[in-house]
Amino acid sequence: MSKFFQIVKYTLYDLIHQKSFFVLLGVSVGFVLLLRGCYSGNYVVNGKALDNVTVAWHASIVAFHIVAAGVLLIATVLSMNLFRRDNEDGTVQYMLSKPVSRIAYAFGRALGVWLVAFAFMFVLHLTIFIITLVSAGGTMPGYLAASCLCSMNVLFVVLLVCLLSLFMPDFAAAFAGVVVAGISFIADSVFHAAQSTLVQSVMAHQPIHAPPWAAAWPKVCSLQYYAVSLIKGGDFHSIGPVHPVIVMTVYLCLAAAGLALAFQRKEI
Amino acid sequence: MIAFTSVTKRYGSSAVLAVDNISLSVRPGEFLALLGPNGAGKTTLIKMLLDFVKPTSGGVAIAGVSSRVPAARAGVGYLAENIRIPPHLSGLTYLNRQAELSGMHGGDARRKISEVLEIVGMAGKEKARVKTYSKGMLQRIGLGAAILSGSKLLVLDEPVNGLDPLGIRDVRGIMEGLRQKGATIILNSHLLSEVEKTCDTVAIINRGKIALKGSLSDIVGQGESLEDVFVRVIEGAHE
Repeated sequence: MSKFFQIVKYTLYDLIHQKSFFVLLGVSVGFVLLLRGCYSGNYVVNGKALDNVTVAWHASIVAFHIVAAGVLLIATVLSMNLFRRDNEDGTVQYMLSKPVSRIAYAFGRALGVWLVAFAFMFVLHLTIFIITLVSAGGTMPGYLAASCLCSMNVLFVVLLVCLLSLFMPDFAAAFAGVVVAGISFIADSVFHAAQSTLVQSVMAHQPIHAPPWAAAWPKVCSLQYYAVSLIKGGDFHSIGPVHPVIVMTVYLCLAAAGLALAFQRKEI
Repeated sequence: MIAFTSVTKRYGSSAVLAVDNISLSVRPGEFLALLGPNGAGKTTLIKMLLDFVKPTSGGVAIAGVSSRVPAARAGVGYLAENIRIPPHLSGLTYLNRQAELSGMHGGDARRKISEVLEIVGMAGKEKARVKTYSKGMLQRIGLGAAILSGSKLLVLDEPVNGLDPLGIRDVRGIMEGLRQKGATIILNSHLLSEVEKTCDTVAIINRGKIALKGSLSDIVGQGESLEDVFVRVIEGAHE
């Protein structure tokens, strides 16, 4: 187990030693800070002026979704060439020539990428949380817990792209990972839009059923909606009979098992 | 110490066998050279020893433990052919990682790393990034890493590859020193003159099979060199 944590530590060092990582983080935090500009405007909805806290609250929810989805792309980019790069720069040879199991190596590397991507997302969400608190005086209990919950999505994408990269070129693996998440975003967003008051009133409150494939598809977007429901404190409608946390847990286990099996067979 | 038992390796569905039913054992303290033309199966044999590739049939054991078990690689040092080291690491960081993964920590690791840096002639240059190293310096750090963790067995795949004559002489001296300390060494090399100067035992591999194995004194006759033996064995097999 200690070897596994050592490999996680090396992965963190390997990923964040680059200045470009901190530049990207700094630029992202800068963009998030621009959100403060939204709080100072005068907004009127249906003739009613919105107070700063309400505006900040809605802007923070939108920013939450954008950051959570954007970090999935960053996780994809970090994962897509993880094993190929290790093979090219000799990392895999020097690690596996030691008494280190392939499982410890593969999951140590993947977990390191996940921690970096998760930290990236958490810093951005924390920034939003703080500027909402400081600029608008609004607190959003559950905001940071929701960020932690979304890390399940990040881990799923990391494991999926790492697994796919063992069978196909990096770019194809990244594209496939984006497609899996993208389909989830489209299917789940359509479903959640259909649950809105407006659509429900048009549909005369008839229940909307998702097709079976959509119910079984990885619930990347639904998990994000569920996380946001923790902030909002409202009801959450899930596609299909199974809660997205359970669905994503199953998919995480499947991706992890696939990665373990595939890496055990990989020739170096 | 090391036992290859009826090991066969066929890559993919190809009809060509990289390694064809090889049985080979290496005693503790033995310095064995694997010789053979390109594509003979030497590197595949080493990769199976380190569990980088799985044998199609047969098995490999290190000190009685199957090479499939990670613990079998405890005390094994490996220098790969065309050594590659992540360019953002310093030589010292690389050696530290090797030491940690081999189970060395703290003062013990620091002391061993200092010793190894002296042995390979890299003391004082270890804090520079690997990307600034010459080919010879890379090879020396790689050899240092192999020595660091190779208390039980050293596997050296073309250790003098890319080195200048002085570097080759230094590496020969290091291998000589290790042999005198009783290390078990498997050397994969094309430089027959170097092998002749350093090894006890030679195994000539051709087309995935062992064509000849024996001690240097047994296989190299009066008035001939190892190169003569090698050419005779390989060309004889092709006739």
